Amino acid sequence: MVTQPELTTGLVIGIVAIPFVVCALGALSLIFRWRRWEPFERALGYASVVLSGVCLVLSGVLAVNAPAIALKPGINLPLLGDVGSLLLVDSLSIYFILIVNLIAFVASWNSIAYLRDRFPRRERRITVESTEQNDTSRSNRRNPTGFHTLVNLFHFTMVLVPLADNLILLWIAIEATTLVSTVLFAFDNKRESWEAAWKYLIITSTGIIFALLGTMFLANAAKGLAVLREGPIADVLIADPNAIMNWTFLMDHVSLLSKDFVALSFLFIVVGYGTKAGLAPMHTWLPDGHGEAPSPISALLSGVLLKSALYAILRFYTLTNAKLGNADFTSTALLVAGLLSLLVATPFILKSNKFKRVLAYHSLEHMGIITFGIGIGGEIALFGALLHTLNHAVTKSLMFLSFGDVLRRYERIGVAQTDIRGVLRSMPITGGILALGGLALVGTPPFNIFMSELIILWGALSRVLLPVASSKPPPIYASSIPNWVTLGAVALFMISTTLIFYGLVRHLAQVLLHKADYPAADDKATGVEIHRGSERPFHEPVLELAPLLILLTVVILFGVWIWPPLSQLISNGVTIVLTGKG
Amino acid sequence: MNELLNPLSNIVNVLEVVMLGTALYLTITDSVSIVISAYRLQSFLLAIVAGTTAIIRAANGDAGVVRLIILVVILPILLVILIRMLLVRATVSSSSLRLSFRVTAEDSMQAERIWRERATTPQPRPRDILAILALALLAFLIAAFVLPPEGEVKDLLLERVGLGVSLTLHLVGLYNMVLKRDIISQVIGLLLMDQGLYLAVVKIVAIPVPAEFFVISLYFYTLITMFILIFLLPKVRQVTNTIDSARIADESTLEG
Repeated sequence: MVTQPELTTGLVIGIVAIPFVVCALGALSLIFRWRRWEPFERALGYASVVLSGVCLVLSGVLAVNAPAIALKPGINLPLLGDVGSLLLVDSLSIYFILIVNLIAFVASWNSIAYLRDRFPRRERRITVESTEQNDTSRSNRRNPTGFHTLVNLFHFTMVLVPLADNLILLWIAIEATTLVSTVLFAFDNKRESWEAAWKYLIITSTGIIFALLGTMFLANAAKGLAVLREGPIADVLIADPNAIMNWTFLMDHVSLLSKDFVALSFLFIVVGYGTKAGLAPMHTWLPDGHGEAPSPISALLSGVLLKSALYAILRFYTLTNAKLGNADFTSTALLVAGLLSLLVATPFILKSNKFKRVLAYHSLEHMGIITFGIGIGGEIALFGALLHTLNHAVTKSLMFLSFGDVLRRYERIGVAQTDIRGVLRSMPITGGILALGGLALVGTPPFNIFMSELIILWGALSRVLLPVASSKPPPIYASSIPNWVTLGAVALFMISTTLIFYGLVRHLAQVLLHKADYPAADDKATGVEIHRGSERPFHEPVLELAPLLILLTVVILFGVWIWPPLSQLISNGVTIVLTGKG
Repeated sequence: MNELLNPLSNIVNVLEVVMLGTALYLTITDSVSIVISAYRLQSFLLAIVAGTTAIIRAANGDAGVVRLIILVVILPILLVILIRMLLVRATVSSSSLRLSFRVTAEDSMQAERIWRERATTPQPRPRDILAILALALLAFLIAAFVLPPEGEVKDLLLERVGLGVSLTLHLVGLYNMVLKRDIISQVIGLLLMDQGLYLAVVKIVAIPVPAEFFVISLYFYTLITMFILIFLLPKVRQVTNTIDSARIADESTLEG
């Protein structure tokens, strides 16, 4: 009979090890140049898809068997020792792991088609030969194996984030996502992608310094614990000195932390991880980055990376509330950041822009909505905010991947992103998915985003209209934001989301409904001749549509029904955020 | 022992104030060469401050400090040695993604010429001086506000000045990154913030744990910095053909 800790440990090892092993295989192939052997290259791509699917299944099993209280996986590694003591598995971390694995799975699947178009096989052979002779064409040196290797490394680092109990390890994991994603940003090797990578790395590195300084302030807040030489706390720290920066340890001894340093730490954390989460006014890297990255990477960035930073903020949010005894300080900071993000996103979604940039600004909007929900606080709004985290990840990935499929095909016949029109005619299935995803994204019923936005609004209004005692066990760290502030915030929320609704529908109509106007050209990937005004010039294979259809199913289903284990996971996550226990 | 430690503490405080001076100097100048020289001096000062602080704390009974000294001092010293060569390479190199660190005298002269062309304002701008003074004031106010009153912490002055200087470096680095008009000085701004972190580790975090873990994270951060200096900066310079950030922004198609 397998015990709960053993099962959890086994599942966690599987979830972490799989992307790492695929990445290691890819890295070996790059070192030993197996990448030039095409069967290996293809096998690595398919292995990446299948194994990320296995990761998703394992995280589903973990979600169903989520431990009632936080567990430390028993992982001992040669040289590194008791790594498990730095990790944490609770409902909140499992929920975020599930999101990471879901999006990593569909993005890996979509990568196969992206890479096939990026490196058409015939052309690839020629370019490999030409790169050996002509060093100037560096773009040709990009290779699918490198892409799969980096995607799996990215996947590995993003899984590590929600598993980190040690807050320094959490910072290292988030910084690792920055480094890997920068290389993926620039994968297309264009001027624009290098510019975007530069902007991204400089801005997020700056932000991440704030986050590290915030973590140091927290370490200083815990200095009183570090100097204890006797007693139960000293015993724990003698056995595991690094426990002093573990979130669970700090939560257990929060009363002994220095109040001012905890508050200062939270401010730096919001600025630092908020930069990585793309919150305004530190969001300026986001439209460039998401707009220029390959579409599967945009999906991962928008769907998961932003949420990883948000997860870090959530852990500090709970700790700060527990120390201060209420959520006034943290809620005010997050409410301001959330509303500012919503307001900043609105004009950029209304104006004419490249569609991928419009989607990137939507990420800013939705991160604003999630932060708004956390800022409002309370069980209902927090439930809505956590649910919105998943809903946005799924819907935005659907949009990036489906538009990415459209973009790839139009680029093959020389049509620029700004000139894409009539997708419903040229690619009716992908166009239809894009239309439904777009409607979901702007919060149209009966889709998932509508559901979570409604819950957040309900949470905000119920604070004013129907204040009831919490069902969670005390202590609950709630905010006492005045009613007029909450109502004002709700009004701004409503105005912004309504304007954004109009903005995205207008952009969608332009892409989907206008008359298709592409020139007569040869499809670079298939060699098929496309005639001017052809009704359905592009083939839409079922295997390419499958990841989109999986996401669309979730988008539609979660608008009316939530998988019960998932609902339980979110509810437990809310308890953890509100009380620090669960 | 205390008679010896007090002068050492005073020396550390004086050196930290000198670090503030160099931060001010590299902010008010437009000359990239001066910025680099000031940064190297600052890194050297940081290494001395870190080493001396660690010695003081070892004498005060904080165990495990020797390893920390070595870990902390290595990085600033490395940057003193490498930074100019890396920036010359980033300014003139055309083979950005090659791990070749060979920089010839000709490369150096060419880089100097490009950097000289960037210097547009010979006189320090009062705006910069005022801004830095305001940022330093803010940083020291925060340090005075958050640290506990006298008596609760050993070496309170040492810690308060350390935190104040650390925060100032942080804010001044950010100021440089936002307002400097060349990508080299922007990277120096980032490195300045990095120095604020080093100082925070040795001055305000408990030794040896979790300070050692923080040092590991600083090493990790240095990896990112090296990635910027070795790969990204040369590549951006290569694809845009300039180090002028305003020109890069003007010519960019990433708008809206």
